[in-house]
Amino acid sequence: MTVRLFARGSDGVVAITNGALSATAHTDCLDNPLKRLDKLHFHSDLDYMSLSATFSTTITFAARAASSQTITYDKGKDSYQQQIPDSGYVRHDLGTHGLGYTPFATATRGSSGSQVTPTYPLQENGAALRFINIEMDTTKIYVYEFWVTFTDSLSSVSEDFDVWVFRNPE
Amino acid sequence: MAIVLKITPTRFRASGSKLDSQRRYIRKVSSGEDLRFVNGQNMDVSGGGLRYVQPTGTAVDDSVYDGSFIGTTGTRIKV
Repeated sequence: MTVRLFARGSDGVVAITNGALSATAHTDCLDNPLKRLDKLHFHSDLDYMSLSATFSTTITFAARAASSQTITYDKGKDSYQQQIPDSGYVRHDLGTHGLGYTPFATATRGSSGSQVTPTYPLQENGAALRFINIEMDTTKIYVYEFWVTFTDSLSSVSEDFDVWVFRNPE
Repeated sequence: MAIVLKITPTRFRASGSKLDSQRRYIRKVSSGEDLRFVNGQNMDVSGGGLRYVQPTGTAVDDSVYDGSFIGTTGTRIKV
């Protein structure tokens, strides 16, 4: 595959296009990049996200016991108790990005096909669940753990995360 | 106007460094990806059960799920 790098001095447009375009098509790529995305490898009017940092870390998620929470109902002089779910959340640090703004970031769990998608169900055991999300703020990347147990418990589990932090498009 | 092109033996920059050979950009690839981006629904609840569709397209069900949700395979990304 051949490509063509072209810089237009009159307005500063720079483009990398497919190499075998007609002059008309090439000019259209320069002037109307959104219409010609299939022919473009780069255009200076478009925004591109680049990788800022990657880091790897291991997080251990604590064991969570089956719920011992109950609610008591009063029925006249009698009362009875019913078990109800227990839940909680923990925000674990994955690392510091140092960008000074809230970037986009994501994480994988050891292989390319294991991206931590939003509300990822990390662990299930009958009536017990643990979900995780990747979160970020102006300084750090986190994995946010939300767990709920009922009649079953969750064992402790360790996960290796590869974190991918991206600069805002520029 | 920002510098349009700046080329040295070890570095290429264009459009005021919008394109810089020392940076790693997101690129869509057909194989050899670093990770996959999922840009559609990838979980479903049916019959009181849960199906999670991994970015590879593989469905992971609990023992209760009884639906037929297919989900979205993630876009292969190289950086």
